[in-house]
Amino acid sequence: MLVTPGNLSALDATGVAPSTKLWSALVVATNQRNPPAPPPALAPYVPVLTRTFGYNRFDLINERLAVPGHNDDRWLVPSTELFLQLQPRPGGDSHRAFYLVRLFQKDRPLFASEIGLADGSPLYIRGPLWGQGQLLLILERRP
Amino acid sequence: MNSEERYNRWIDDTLPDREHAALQSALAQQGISGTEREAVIATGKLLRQHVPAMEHADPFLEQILDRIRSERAANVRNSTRRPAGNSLAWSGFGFATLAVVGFFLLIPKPWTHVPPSEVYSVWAESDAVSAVAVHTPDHSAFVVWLDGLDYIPADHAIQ
Repeated sequence: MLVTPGNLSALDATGVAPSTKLWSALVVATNQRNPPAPPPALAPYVPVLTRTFGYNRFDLINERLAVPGHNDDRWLVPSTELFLQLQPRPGGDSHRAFYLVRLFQKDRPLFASEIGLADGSPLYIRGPLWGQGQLLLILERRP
Repeated sequence: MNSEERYNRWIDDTLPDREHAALQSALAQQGISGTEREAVIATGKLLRQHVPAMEHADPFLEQILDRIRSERAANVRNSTRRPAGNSLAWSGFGFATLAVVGFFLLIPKPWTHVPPSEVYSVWAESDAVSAVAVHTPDHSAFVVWLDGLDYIPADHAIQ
């Protein structure tokens, strides 16, 4: 069963810092002769995005700042097409938390990964092509 | 005979005639005529008349020369040794400052270092999809790189 983003709950006693938040963003990357300035939310990531994926324009489709939970699956990145599932794993401390991440396109699972997210250190996911652009996801733990 | 001695002897009118004529000619070429010589001679006579003769001129002169030599030596020490000592001290201070700044700026500090996010394992959950974890070119972050995904048409709403 898919859990909607609205079900994101407050933290319980798992060792995860209550103030910790997860920022997720769905971005479309394209190439343009004279690209406009990126949206402020993406500006810090643009240098790495450009060097890594080879695009020069990045538009923010949607973003979400959520408090990660413990027992339930958490669904990040609001989209009608892509769903990012986050399952907290035990361990971690005030600067790092562990998760099982799964990405779905509709109800089709695409990949799974075990990750450790540290504050201010984003994880990038190269998703499918959409129209003339490339869909990218950014996942970052914020204090 | 150097030029100073020759000039003094010219003032005192003790030069041999041939050298006197040559010097007079050279001075005339430089615009120095006989009137200057007369003025210098007159000044010398006035000094001799009003300044008492020194009884022991040689010891007095020697004392002056000693004083000059000692002051020259002191100047040499001041111009060489003291700046060298100062520059050594400043160089040491500069290197110490650089070392401290370098320590705080360049050397990773374990008490403040937070390791970056990591991908411990990644696997595809669809046969058509490949998933690998790679570093960004600057090694600042991980990328989960997916291939084999279905293309989404532009008219298909994402949000």
